[in-house]
Parts: sequence; structure tokens; C-alpha cells
Amino acid sequence: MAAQHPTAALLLCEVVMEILSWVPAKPVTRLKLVCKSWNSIISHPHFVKLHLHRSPKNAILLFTRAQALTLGGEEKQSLVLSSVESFIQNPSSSLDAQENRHSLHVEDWVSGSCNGLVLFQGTRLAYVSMRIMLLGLGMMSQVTVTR
Amino acid sequence: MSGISDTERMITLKTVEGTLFDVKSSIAKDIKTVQAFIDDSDDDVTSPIPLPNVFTRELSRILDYLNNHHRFRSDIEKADEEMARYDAEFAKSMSHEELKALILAANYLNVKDLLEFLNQTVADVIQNKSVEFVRNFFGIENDYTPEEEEKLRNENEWAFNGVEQD
Repeated sequence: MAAQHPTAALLLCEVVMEILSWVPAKPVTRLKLVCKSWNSIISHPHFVKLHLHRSPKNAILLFTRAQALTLGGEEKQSLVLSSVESFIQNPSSSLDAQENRHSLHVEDWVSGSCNGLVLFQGTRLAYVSMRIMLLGLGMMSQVTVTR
Repeated sequence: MSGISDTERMITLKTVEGTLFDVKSSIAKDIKTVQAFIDDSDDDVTSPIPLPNVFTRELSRILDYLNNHHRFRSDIEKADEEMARYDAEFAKSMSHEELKALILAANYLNVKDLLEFLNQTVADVIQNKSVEFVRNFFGIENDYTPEEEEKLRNENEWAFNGVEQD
């Protein structure tokens, strides 16, 4: 490249944020590892909001699914995430893909959702536990509240 | 008729290298930085507008893009299809370095539609690539210690499941 032409090695922070807002949730989470400033950008509430706003292009479907583990009938419950696009193209394989699946406690149920946050509630013995999952970005970074 | 007339006003833009480009005022409207300059001068622009951050290669690409999009929009029937085909070719014709340089120029000139299209193009390029590829692409130094990197990877383990590294 000619010496007078800038290599554009460093794109401005605002441009980086715009670019990353178009990257789907799972790969953008991996990109936290690029460097510390990217981690701050991706973790910032402003970015999370922007990303959610852009997400219709990368909409994710959420299914809960129960499977009998043994013939005896012990059930395993899992949460399956799939992009709308891959679900339409190939429903069975996107539901079966291991990387889309996350296990849930069998007693958990979805009690509500709002803006990409999903609230799971479950009764375990004497206490109630609530788990909140951020579907968009911190998908599996769960907060567990017990009381 | 509200179509573009032959007598439409022309604006002259000047790149870093000193190359001059004559641009129709209807095209200049899409270049917000230029339009702001024109508005500030009370529409009385007689000399070339200097663009101290924009190189000839990028300006000529941006004008190509805008001219083509204006042309497509004048033919409603085929607009979407042709525009999509043109955009795909436009994105493919550039190297990664050229793409980044064009983003810088489009950002400085504030050409909204083009910038959004280019940002999505880069997002598509990097979304299935390794962290290392993305660092190289953006010219970023890894500033994590190996311990910090390991910790962050473990905290976000779900995002690395089922990923084939390039």
C-alpha cells in the first residue's frame, strides 16, 4: 500500500461498535477475547441495547424441550436456541445440534420474558430459585436468586 | 417533472491528493458532511470543497455507489433486485484493507446507508472467524495476560461450543 495512504488499522470506537452490533450474539460474545476495550464495548449496556435493536436480522428462537433419559423415565429438560433462518431451513438438525442446547433443571419453568431477558423459576426442596438469562448477549451468564 | 435536469447544480470536491470531483447537488445531499458545509456557506459554494481526510480511491468508490443507487431508485420496478446485486458485487470487489479504508471515509463523510452496508459486510466477514483472525483484521494487539484470557474464555464457554477455528 502506498505510504501516503493510511492503513486504517484502527477503526474508531464508534465504528467498531456499529460493526459489532451486526454480529450475532454467540460470535460477538467470543469477540470479548479480542482485547480489553472490545470486552468493555460488548459488555456496555449501551451496546447491549443497540445489539438488541439490531437483532431482528439475527432473531433467535427459544424452545424448551424435555427428553426422557432412560426408559424408566427420568426426564432431562433443556433449552434450545436456534436462529430463525436455520430453523426454517432445517428444523430437526437445528433442534438437535448439541451446541444449541443448554440443560435446565427439570423443575424449572419459564415464568416471563422481556427485552431478551428470560426468567426461569423453579422450586427445589424448600426454596424457590429464579434464574435470569440474557438471551441476546450474556445468554448463559445466569444470575441465580434463591430465597 | 421533478427528475434530474441537465442544469442541476454541480459541487466540486477535492481529495487529499488534490483530485477534483464534480458532484450533482442531489448526490451531495447524501454526503452529510459535504451538505453541512454547503448549508453553512448559505448555498454559496464557488470553490472546491476540500476533504482533508478523504483519498481519491475512496471518494471515487463512494460516488460510484451513490450514483448507482440514485439510478436504481429512479426505476422502482427493478430497484431492490438490482441494488442487492450491485451491493454484493461492490462488497466483493474490495480487499479487507480497502474495505476498512472505505469505512473510515464513509464515516467521516457521514454517508449513512453506505456505512451501514459496509458495517454489515464486515460483521459477516468476522462472525465465523477466530479471535486471532479478528485481531489481525482490525490490527489489534492482545492486551490480556494468558490467565485473564483463560478466565474470560471460561466465563463465556457457551459461546465457544461447537466452533471450528479457522
